[in-house]
Amino acid sequence: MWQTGFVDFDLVYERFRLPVWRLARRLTTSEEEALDTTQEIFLRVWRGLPGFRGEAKLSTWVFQIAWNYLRAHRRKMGRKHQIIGENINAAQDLVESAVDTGPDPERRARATQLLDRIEVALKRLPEHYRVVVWLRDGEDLSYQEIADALDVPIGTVRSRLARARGALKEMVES
Amino acid sequence: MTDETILEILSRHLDGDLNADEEVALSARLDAEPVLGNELETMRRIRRSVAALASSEQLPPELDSLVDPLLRGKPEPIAFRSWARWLATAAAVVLGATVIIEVNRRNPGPSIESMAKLRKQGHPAEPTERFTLAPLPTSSLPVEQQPLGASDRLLASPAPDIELDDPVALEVLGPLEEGEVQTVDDQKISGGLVDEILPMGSAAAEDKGAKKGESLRTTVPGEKDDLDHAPQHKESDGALEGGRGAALQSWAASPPMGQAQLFVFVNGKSAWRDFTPPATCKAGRYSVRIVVAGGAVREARPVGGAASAAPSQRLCAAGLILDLEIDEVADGEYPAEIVVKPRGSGQ
Repeated sequence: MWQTGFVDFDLVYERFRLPVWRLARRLTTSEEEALDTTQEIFLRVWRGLPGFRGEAKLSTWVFQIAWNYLRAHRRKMGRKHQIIGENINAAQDLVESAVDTGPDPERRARATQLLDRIEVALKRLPEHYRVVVWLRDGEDLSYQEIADALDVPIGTVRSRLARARGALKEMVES
Repeated sequence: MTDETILEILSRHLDGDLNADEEVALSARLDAEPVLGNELETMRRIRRSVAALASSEQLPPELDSLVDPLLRGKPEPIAFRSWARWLATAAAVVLGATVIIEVNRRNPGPSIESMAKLRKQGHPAEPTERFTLAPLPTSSLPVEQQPLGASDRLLASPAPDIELDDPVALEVLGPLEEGEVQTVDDQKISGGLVDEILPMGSAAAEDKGAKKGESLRTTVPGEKDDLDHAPQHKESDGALEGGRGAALQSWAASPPMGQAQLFVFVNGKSAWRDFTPPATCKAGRYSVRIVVAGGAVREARPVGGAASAAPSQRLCAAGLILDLEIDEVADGEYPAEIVVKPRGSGQ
């Protein structure tokens, strides 16, 4: 097994390939773009791994690399961030069409639809909010880990997470 | 309490981030405000949905192949590594500097002490700057009279159309090695004349020719039919008889004594004169054809085959006799021979 620094790249890749891919999927607009950015992220992980000495948690370090690259990538691509509340009517239409009534098969169908709606709603969140809610609810990182990965104060994580959840709730419920 | 504040409390409650006091306060409020409970439930549902969304995500199979080179530890292309480019540049600079320093160390220039020592011994001091170009040597002669310039003119002129009666004889008339040329003093000591500095008509020259083979045919004064270098034109039997001075001498009159001699072959007869070369050429014997006009050599063209000296030396020798006075010879073109002795020999 090829080793770099104190950590095997194989293990890092095995452990984080799916989380990094999911984050890339959330912060890009297509699967192809997500694939490319994931590869670039792991290239940076590979480069930086010899210098990783374990001062930070490995997950924090990997997500920090991922976030920095994805943010720079988005900036480079020149895509404008969407603001909370924008296209809120379209989100409302989605929610209205999914009324939580009926027998169980229908409820399961609605649950599946809910996932799609959540995904659509997530894409409408500004990425600073999106990444926080995704790292917390999707990847189950702690507030502190999110704060370290995004290099923001933990209070900012709390407030951003609350706003993001409120916006999602608004889009799904309305 | 603003909506944003309660939203953050609900959010933190979902994540278990509230402390005990905040949990108690929230429970009391949830009991009092059922709407807050509904909001909390919606948020919890969304939270679970996001988690479910993450769980449902499938890894694309192409990702492994894209990252595979990294998994195999294959180094990334050099173009990716800026530090590698800088390192290579620095290594090249260090290597170049090392080579320069080492070369200078192994081949140091002359030290001041060694130069002073050489100067004391009479050696000229080496130039302090190696490879400095020095100006070309100049001559006090007018440009048109400088031998080297005359040679250049000869080079620039069309090749002479010379038809020799016996080219083989010319081939053996190449320059002598320096060791073969003897001085007049040597000749006197040995009690005889040495053919190397003799005109072609001498008996000693015949002996040398005999040693080298039958092809060496030299002229003997008075033998009209034995002239190797017949003049091409304007030559008459009375060319020597009609002399206007005493610059040329017959061989029998006196042996050559000077630094250089010019031997002229006129219709089977030879005559010679000493002269001081205006320039330095390599010692040896050089066959030439000369054009005489107005009692002086006006043109000299080197002739000879592979056995002769280098073309540059032949041109050098030819240049030595330009404008050399030979009053006795009538105007015309004649075969001739130049003998240049080594430095220090002769008079």
